[in-house]
Amino acid sequence: MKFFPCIAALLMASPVASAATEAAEKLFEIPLWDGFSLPITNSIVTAWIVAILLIVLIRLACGKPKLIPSKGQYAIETVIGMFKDILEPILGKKAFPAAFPLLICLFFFILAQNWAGLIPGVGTIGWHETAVSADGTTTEHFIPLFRALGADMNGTLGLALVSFGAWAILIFKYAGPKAVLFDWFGNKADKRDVPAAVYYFLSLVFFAVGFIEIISIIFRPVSLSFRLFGNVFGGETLMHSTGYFTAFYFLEILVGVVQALVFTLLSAVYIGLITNHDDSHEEES
Amino acid sequence: MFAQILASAAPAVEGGNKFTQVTTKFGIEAGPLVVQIISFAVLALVVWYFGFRPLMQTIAERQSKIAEGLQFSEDMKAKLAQSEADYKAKMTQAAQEAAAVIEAARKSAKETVEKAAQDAIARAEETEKRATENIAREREKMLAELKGEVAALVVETTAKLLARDLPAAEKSRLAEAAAKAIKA
Repeated sequence: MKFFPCIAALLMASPVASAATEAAEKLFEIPLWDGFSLPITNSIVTAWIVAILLIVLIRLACGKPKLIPSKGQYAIETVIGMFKDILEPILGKKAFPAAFPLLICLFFFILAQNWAGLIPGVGTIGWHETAVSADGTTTEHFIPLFRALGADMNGTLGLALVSFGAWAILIFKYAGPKAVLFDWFGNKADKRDVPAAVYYFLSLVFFAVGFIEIISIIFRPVSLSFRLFGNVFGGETLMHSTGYFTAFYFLEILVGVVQALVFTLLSAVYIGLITNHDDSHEEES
Repeated sequence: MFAQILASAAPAVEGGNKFTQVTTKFGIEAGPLVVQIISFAVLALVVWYFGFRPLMQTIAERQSKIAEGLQFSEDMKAKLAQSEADYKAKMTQAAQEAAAVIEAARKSAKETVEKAAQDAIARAEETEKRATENIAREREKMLAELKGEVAALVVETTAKLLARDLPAAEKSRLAEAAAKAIKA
């Protein structure tokens, strides 16, 4: 009960301090070498804190895993088991062991970061800075100390690039370049089922479609990152605008789970679209 | 179309191409991007190697033990069924052997009883024969004694009737004559 006034004050302050911009604010820089430094934004600080809390939480929940699990271990085992059941058929048996660690970490990381954005104070605790523009007008700009990773394009794009990199490695490792090229440009029609002329025409069509496929693949990190950013940034703005209205708050808790799940499942589907072919053929044969 | 979306997403940024406008608008920079990627990579490594991997190993170990337990249970069930079958077979064999032993014992007992009866009959017959012989012998003996007595009585009676003492030859002749008479 002692904390309630503090939280209430934060909630009351929220609408006033809702002038969030799309870009994350730079808090400080870590100088690396001459003329080059690493900028640390408020979303990076938040991501670090949430990551440390997540590690501590998981370690506390699991401890040293035992054959007869504790409540915390059982809860995490249930989530892991659920993801195993969902992801194994998508990824295929060959790629699953390699892709699962990344995907499960992606889910927990994004979920923790999304929910962290809903904690009162994230995006609202900060300070105002006055900036003078070229024409002499002064504008006051709010710098939040904490910002959800999902509300920073660097964060969401970083995760999307990790997912994309893992996709590229896994498909070439587990499907091979030949299968990948066939999947993109190859003629999927059966020569025995269609006349030769149609077959060769389809080869041209599939080859052209391959280029469209590559363009869509290139845009996957963009769509993944913008989807997550849009949902989290939009949710944060909604929270700030409505003063953490209870109904929206619970909605955003749900959105946090759904977006983490969507990001993870889409990453899995992108990998599985190519690596799962052989398994399907093996099962068919 | 994507260019239109990008253009509409970054209307406030002046100058530069569409890509630069979007990156500027959303604050996309190489530095924070790399830091975010490294942050996630570090977190993923730590969480996986110190959290999820031991957990997955424990789950696998548990599943292995459960599978072993189930297999052991199945093996034990099979062994139990086999033992029960063996027990039944042995019990049946034992019952058959017992029945055979009992039958053999009955047969043996019957043979023993029969033999004992036959022996008893033979002994009884032997005893009867011996008794008959004894009786016959005793009878012969008694008859001989009786003959002797009668002969002596005849001699004595004759001597008394004659009122004289008979000579030994006469006594012997009379005794033999009496004996012959009794025999006849």
